[in-house]
Amino acid sequence: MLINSDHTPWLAATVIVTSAATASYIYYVEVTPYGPSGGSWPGIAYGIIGTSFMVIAGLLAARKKVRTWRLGSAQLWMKMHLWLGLLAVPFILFHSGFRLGGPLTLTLMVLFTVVTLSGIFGLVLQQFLPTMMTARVPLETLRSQIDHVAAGLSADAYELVASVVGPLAEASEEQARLAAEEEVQKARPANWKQIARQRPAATQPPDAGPLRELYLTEVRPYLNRRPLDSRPGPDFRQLMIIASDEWRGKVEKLVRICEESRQLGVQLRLHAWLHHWLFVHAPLSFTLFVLTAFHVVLALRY
Amino acid sequence: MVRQELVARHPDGLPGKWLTPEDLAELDFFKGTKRAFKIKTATNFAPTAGKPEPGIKAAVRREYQKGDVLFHAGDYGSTAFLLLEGTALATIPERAQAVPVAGRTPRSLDFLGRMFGRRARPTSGGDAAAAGRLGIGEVSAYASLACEAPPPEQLLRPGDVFGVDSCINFYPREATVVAAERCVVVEMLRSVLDTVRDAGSASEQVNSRYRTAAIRWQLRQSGLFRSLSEEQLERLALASELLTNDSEAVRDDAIYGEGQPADAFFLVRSGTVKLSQVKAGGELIFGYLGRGSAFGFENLLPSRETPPLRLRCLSHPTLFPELDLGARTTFGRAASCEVIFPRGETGIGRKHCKIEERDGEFYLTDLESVNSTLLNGERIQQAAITAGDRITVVDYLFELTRAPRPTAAAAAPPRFASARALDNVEIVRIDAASLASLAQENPRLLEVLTEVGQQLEAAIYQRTSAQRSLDSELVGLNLYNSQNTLLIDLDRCTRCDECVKACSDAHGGVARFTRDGPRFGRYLVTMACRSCTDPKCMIGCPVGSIRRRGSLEIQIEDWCIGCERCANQCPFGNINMVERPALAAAAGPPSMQATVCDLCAGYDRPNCVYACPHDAAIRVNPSAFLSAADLG
Amino acid sequence: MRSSKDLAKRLRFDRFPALDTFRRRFFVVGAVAALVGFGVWLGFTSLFGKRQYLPGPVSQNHATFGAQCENCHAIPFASVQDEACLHCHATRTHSPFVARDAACRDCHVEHRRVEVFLSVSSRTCVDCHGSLESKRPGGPAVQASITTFAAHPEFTPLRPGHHDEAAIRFNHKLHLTSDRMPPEQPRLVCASCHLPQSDGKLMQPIVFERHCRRCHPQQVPGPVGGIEAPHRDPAVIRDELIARLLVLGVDNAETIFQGTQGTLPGIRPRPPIDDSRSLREYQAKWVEKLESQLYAPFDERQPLLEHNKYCFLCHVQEGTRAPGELARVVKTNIPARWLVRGEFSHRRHDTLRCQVCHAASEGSERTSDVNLPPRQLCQNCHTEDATRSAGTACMLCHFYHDTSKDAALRACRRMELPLGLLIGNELPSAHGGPESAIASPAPCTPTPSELRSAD
Repeated sequence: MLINSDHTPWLAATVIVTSAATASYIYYVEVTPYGPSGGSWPGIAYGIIGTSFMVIAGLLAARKKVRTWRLGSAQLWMKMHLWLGLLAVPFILFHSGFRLGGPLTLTLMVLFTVVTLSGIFGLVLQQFLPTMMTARVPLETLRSQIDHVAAGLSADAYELVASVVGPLAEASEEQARLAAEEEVQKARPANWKQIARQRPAATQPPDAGPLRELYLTEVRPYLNRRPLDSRPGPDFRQLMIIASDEWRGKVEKLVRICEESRQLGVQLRLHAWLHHWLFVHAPLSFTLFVLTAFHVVLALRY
Repeated sequence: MVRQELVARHPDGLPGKWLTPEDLAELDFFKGTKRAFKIKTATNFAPTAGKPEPGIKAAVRREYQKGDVLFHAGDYGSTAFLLLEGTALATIPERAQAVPVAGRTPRSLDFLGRMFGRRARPTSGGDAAAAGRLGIGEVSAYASLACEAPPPEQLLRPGDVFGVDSCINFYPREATVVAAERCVVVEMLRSVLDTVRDAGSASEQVNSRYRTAAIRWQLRQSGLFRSLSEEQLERLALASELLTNDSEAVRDDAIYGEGQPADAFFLVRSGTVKLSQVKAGGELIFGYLGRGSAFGFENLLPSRETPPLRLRCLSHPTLFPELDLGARTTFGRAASCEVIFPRGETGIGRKHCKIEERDGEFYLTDLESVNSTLLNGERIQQAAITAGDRITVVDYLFELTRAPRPTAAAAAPPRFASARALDNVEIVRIDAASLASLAQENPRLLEVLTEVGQQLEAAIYQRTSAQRSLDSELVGLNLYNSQNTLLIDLDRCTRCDECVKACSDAHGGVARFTRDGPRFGRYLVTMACRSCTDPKCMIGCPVGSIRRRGSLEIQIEDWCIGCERCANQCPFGNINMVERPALAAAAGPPSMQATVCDLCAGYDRPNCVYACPHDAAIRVNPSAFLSAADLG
Repeated sequence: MRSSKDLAKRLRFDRFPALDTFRRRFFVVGAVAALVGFGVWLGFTSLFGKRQYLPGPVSQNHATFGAQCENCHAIPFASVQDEACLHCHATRTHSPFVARDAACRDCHVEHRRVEVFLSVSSRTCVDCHGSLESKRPGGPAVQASITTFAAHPEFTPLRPGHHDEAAIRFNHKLHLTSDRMPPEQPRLVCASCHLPQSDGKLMQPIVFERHCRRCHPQQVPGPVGGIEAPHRDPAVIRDELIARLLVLGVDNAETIFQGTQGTLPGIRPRPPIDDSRSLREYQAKWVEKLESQLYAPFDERQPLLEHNKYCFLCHVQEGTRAPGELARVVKTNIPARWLVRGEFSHRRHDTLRCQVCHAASEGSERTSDVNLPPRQLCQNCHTEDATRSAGTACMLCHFYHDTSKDAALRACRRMELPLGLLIGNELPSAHGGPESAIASPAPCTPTPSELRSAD
């Protein structure tokens, strides 16, 4: 979530609560004879407050399962997750008295740190990555449709080249896709999703050899590269120079297609950055909760 | 949402008697339509299995008592009414209703108190009387005008067809209709009305009645003519005609061209009109006018050309005659100047100063003279000048005045810009001469027209170039027509798809929009229904299942037969065909059904916005919002 | 600009809203992570058992049953109760007037550093003694608010109105500056009489035979030579005198009873010293004579030593003595221990000269003088300034647990705790360290009632 002035009330509340907690902790440390301890009444209070903040923050995952229930908007929950998660940090630190304790509490502290830091990392990413993606990938599409769109681009490229040089047996997948598309469109002729495809040329013009070659050696492999990465596409400058007026326009379109394919690669990469930190943050938070449950029950029991 | 409801929602929930084709055939109005209805029987009037009533209620007979309200102005509706018995009164409200739009969710400090409030009351169009947010092209209802007298009521008699405008154009109801005594009406869906308009013997009657009524209603509804008496209104109506894209006067969607004599005045009833000038470098678009606007004021207002400034010499009137300033006026001793000083005046330079016209303004520039140029007594290097200023060149004193206006008004001044229909339009064309003579009779009318014309000038002709290019982009994206769509702020969106998931959760597993689409600055205009003012999707639905019920959102009822016409007609591809799981339905259920965003009608607010964790999704009137937004 | 219709043509719409790969993987990873958490707990349980829940190490003393948490944490979801401690440790009380009962765990905190368990922080003392509530009728016996050593009240013997009430006459100054010392010991020093007990803490009581007799022998002239009166009860003295007289009489019968008849020229005949008819008469006569010397009442004339030679030079007579009666000596009641509530160890201070603290003794002429250093003197080294202080922990001098009522404890050999352990700096070693006093049976903390038992 973008941190902007909407967050001011939350930030103010967090600062106030943290200051109050710090003041009370300092007083507590001064007063107790043997130093702070998680088992003393103030220590338990800090622990309860900190854990409840953690639990509420963690409920975000559950909230997303019942999105349409009116339990408070997603923006509210996100802000709560963020700020209560941050607020939990001082409370848990005070609860621990800045000591690591035995194996279980040490593990908890490590997990807590990793979860919090990964969350902050993700938050930082969210401040600038969306803008970066918007700027760098004007031809963005839906992540779940990238495969489909990329295959579509391959088919488009084949269609363009074939319309100049004739059908190419090597491009079997593209041909299959175009054929399937034609079948679907024939079944529903009134449907608006018809894409008018150019037919493959009957004969190849004499000067189109380089086009065919470039397509087979560079363009097609580039468009079909999997996984889609962000490396630049083939160099069309030579081809543009020797292209005849007939099919130069198609080369320009090929350039655009390759550019779009490259942008999809960029999108994949940026999307990964935007989302894969969640694979650290969320699962470890589940581990954290399981172990916290053990800690709460057993520390109180003893 | 699979709900089979009454054809039109009445506040009092009056039931009606469902009519079969046979019933309809008995009415005069429907003569000649039997064959057409026969084709439609299977779809329009098919009874549900095991039930006595038809499953699809395309026509229903209702009774009203005296004082019952049939519909309110501003309500949405998709039906037309035929009055069989009794009389009703139609009144036009004081102000044109603006379309209610769902805005951005408020700052989310709403705490978890609002739990489990899943199905709140749906949004209604009628209460939004005060919501005044207008989009591009919608000129406000001349709020500066005081209403002289309450608008007159129109009496509806048996045989009259009313409510056609909403049925055809899907605009909110224009008037409030109240039963004056016990009435019996036939309320019909568009599919039934179209049958009559296309094939019935009553078609000509319906169409011409429609035209007549449309003109009169538009004249009444427009606040411009409030000061006219009934008789004057009628005269005006007779001098008017209803133009559509098919009319002879409109060729290639051009209503009038730049430079043509201004012989008519226009009111836009529906659709959008573009005003522009063709310049050497391209087309200069002044603006877009939508429903409720008026244009063509040239014959009523003084010429837009700024009268030139006139230069007069006060000190040596005999030496210099009065001169109307042109594009460039140079002062000096050189012979090439326009204002030439005697050669003996050595204090004055060969080229002493100049006056230039730029963008309608005049500027005085000193050309590095030795003895400088004074404007109103002060030395200047360069300054803007206007009527009343005095220029001093050494000993010579000049004064600027406005040239007097041409006294005789041109018979028909030329059009300042050309007007072109952007889409399907209905325009009321009023003959200029009749309007002028009425204006002379009724000075209040002239006042009103002048005031409104000046407002329009300010709004349209004086838009900055930035605003104009924004308008062009909005038009390019077809956003001027849209009333409410989902925009996503791409600087905030993390592409997490929560909005899509929420939409599908709320709609039985099928999302009603796609999180992709054209971009406008940093906003993504999603492929979600835009609630167009004149929705193309609704045209020609054979079963009338796509409609607006009582509010802004477009619904596709579950009797959709999957013909894909709406999907094909939507210019944005916002309607998708989805396989409907086979439910128990008689006579071979359609396997595909059209789905469209329905603004989450059953919820208190749209789920897409509600579920976006990063506050990136907003539902707004796009043209109004994007015109004012910071596009980053 | 691509129109949305163009875009719509390129996408496929038959997938809404299938769980995409990200979400599917996410679900799996999440489930795995939760199981990992459970697994971690299981792993810890098998590796560490219950020790995985430790918030800190168990102190060395309790390390033997470190993993058997129930030994102390017997009741689930409750704190450690005193009963758990009393399984091994004997009951220890503090004062019968305690208003706010402290549990063992309030002062003895486990699970800190290994060595921290035994050190009790002064703060726990101040918790109650900072504003003392007492059930004692008449209020607490000690100052109600003691928060630091600086706020510690003056030691009781040194408070105004307190004197040394011993019924003995002793002039420190005289003894320390006397010039009538024998040549082998020209000057008396503190250590001439005051020697520490074997545990190094308090001084050994003054014993006449060891410390006074050499200069003050109680020798009364008998019929022949002198008879030393033992430093005992008058009754015992009498018996001793009688016995000694008998012996003398027997041994020197001629000289005493017959006299000498001029056996040698120039030697005058001496008459018999005693003309008693019977031994008994002789004894009685001489006893009375000797006793009247011994028990001569105190003569104030100076110099005292000239006018007072025997018992009542130092002792105080009770009443008067008629001839023939036994004298009654007021019990001396010399305090064996001055500071009752606190522990003082001279050994720990043996780097200091006696005069540093007991300067008053050099000028003390009266028995009633209390020659102890005031508390202020202690504060010179035991300052509040933590960096240069000899320590101000309450536990340095005071001991919480009152062992006076516990006979078993009293009789036991009380291991002297090394200082470092008291203030938590050192580990207890297996054998109690070089400073432990296991060897000699040192008396346990005497009770107030026993304090005056010395001599």
